Formats: sequence, structure tokens, C-alpha cells
Amino acid sequence: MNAAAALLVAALGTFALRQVSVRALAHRPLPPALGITLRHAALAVMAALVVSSSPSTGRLGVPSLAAAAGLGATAIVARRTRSITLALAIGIATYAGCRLLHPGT
Amino acid sequence: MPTPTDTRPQPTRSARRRGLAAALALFPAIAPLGIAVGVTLGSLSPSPVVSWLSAPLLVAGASQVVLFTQIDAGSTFLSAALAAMLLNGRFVIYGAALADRFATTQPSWFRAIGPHFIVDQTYAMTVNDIVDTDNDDDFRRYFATAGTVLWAAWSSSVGIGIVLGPIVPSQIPLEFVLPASFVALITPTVTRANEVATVIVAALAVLVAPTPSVALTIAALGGAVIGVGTRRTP
Repeated sequence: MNAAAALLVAALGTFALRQVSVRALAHRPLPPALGITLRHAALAVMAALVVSSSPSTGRLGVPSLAAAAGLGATAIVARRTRSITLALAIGIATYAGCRLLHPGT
Repeated sequence: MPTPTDTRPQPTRSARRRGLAAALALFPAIAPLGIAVGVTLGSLSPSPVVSWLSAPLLVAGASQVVLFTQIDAGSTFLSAALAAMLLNGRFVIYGAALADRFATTQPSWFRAIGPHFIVDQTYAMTVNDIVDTDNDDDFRRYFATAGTVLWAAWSSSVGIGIVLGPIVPSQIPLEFVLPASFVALITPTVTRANEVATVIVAALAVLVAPTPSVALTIAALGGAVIGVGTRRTP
């Protein structure tokens, strides 16, 4: 019951979050400075999610060596090829390989 | 004699096809990620039905996991919901950046339903593919197609993860798929020095903040400050 209630509130609240900014700014052009601000804020949030969701060594949430290697490989392949699928495949393989070679990293 | 201008509507298949192609290109990333989230949700106490419903209703893996993890940790339903919503606060940023695309020139059904598909992946796809297009019809067809396909793929993948969770081998690194997918999405868009600085500041914010929700708030503010303060930097 608690979980269902939490989901209902979160779902309604998230729906409202998605709607409010779209509706509030739909009738007026986005000032260039605000557009730059929003773009950088969105980039920052996604980067923060990368670090917070990466497998870590437990110390201060620092990503593990294997995770860092995997993420680095993902970034390099994504930059060079712009292929998300290939970047993910190489990154996951790098992460899995590092864990095999150095268990616990 | 001047040539008459062709005023017939432009073909619409290209916008829908581009939306479908963009969504399908993300499917190899979405599916494992959804399964990973589903496996995690399946290990928590809420019923499989409630856990699965978070997928089509929230469409946000990190907040889905936070929501039910908080419930299992003893939080009230309101506290858990607020934690999940704070993680989803970034959708306000994405929505504001896309607001002009959902203007009153769009049909009311699209303005009501379309924003539900605003997630990290559709935002990044839109920035890369269609943000410079002036045609509202093309954007609607692209976004509705891509959003619907990704929503269905996400909901299905989470369901599969919940069902198969108990039998997934531990050697499969599902825990790495979520951060890797974000890296694959944002790396091609980071081209300037101030954008690199934004990423570094955000990463440091996570390491020093007491909770993930506070980290996201600090990261967003830091990124905004850098963006405004260095916007003349080449």
C-alpha cells in the first residue's frame, strides 16, 4: 500500500514537472542566455547521474577502476563513431574485462 | 514568368522514420538498462505489478529504483515520492529547453501526452537530431514516434527484468549499463571547454554531496553558472 501510494504521488508529480516547464514557456521565446543555462544545467545533471550510478569502490562514491576504464572506453568510441550501440558494447566489454583481470576493482 | 512555389505539404515519412531509427538505435542500450532496473526492482519488497507500473508511469530508471529503495528503507510514501521527484527535477530543464516545440501551434493531444516522453534519451536525441528544424509537424511526428517506441521498449524491458531477475547470472554486468548509456549519450554533445568544465564540476558535486538528490541540485546549479559565466569562451 505504501509503495503504491508512493508511486501514485511520484507519477503525478513527475507528470506535473514535465508539463509545467513546457506549458510555462510555450507562449514566449526562450531567451538565449536562459537556453545556454538550461543546456548546461541538463548536461551537468546527466554527468552527475553517470558518477552517482557507476559501480564504486565505496570510498566517497568514486567509480571503481573497472568502471572508470569502461566509461572511458564508452566515451572514446561514442566521440569517434557517434554510435551509441557500439560505444555501449565496447564499454561494457572493457568493464567486464577489467573485472575479470582484476577482481574487486 | 516566375516559377510557382510548391505549396504542397512536404512528405512526413522522413520525420517518423528518423524518430523510429533514432529510437531503434537506442534499443540495445534501453533494453539491457530496463532489464537491469527490473532485476533491481524485483529484488525489493513492493509487488511485481506495482514495481512494473513505475516503468510506464515514471519512465525514469534512477527514480524508479530510488522510490522503492526508500520504501524498503522505511521511508514514508511521501518522502520516497519526493526523493524520486527530486531526481526527476531535471525534466523541468529538458522541458524548458524544448518548450517552444510544444507551443500552442501543436495539437492539444500532443501538448498533453508528448511531455510524458521527455527523458534523458529523448532530450539528447532531439538536441542531436531535430532542434534546428523549424517545422512543428516534423518535430511532433519525430518525437511522438521516438517517444512511443522508447516508452514501450522501456516498459517491456523492465517487466522482463522483474520476471527474469531471479535467474540472471551475476557475471552479467547489468549495474554498468545505466552510467554507460548516459556517457554514450552526452559525450558527442560535449564539444567546448566550458561544457567539459560543466561535466567535471558535476562529477565533483556527486563526490562531495551528502545525498544523490543534493548532488543533482548542486550539479545543476554549477552547470548553469558555468554556462552563463563562460558563454563567450570559444
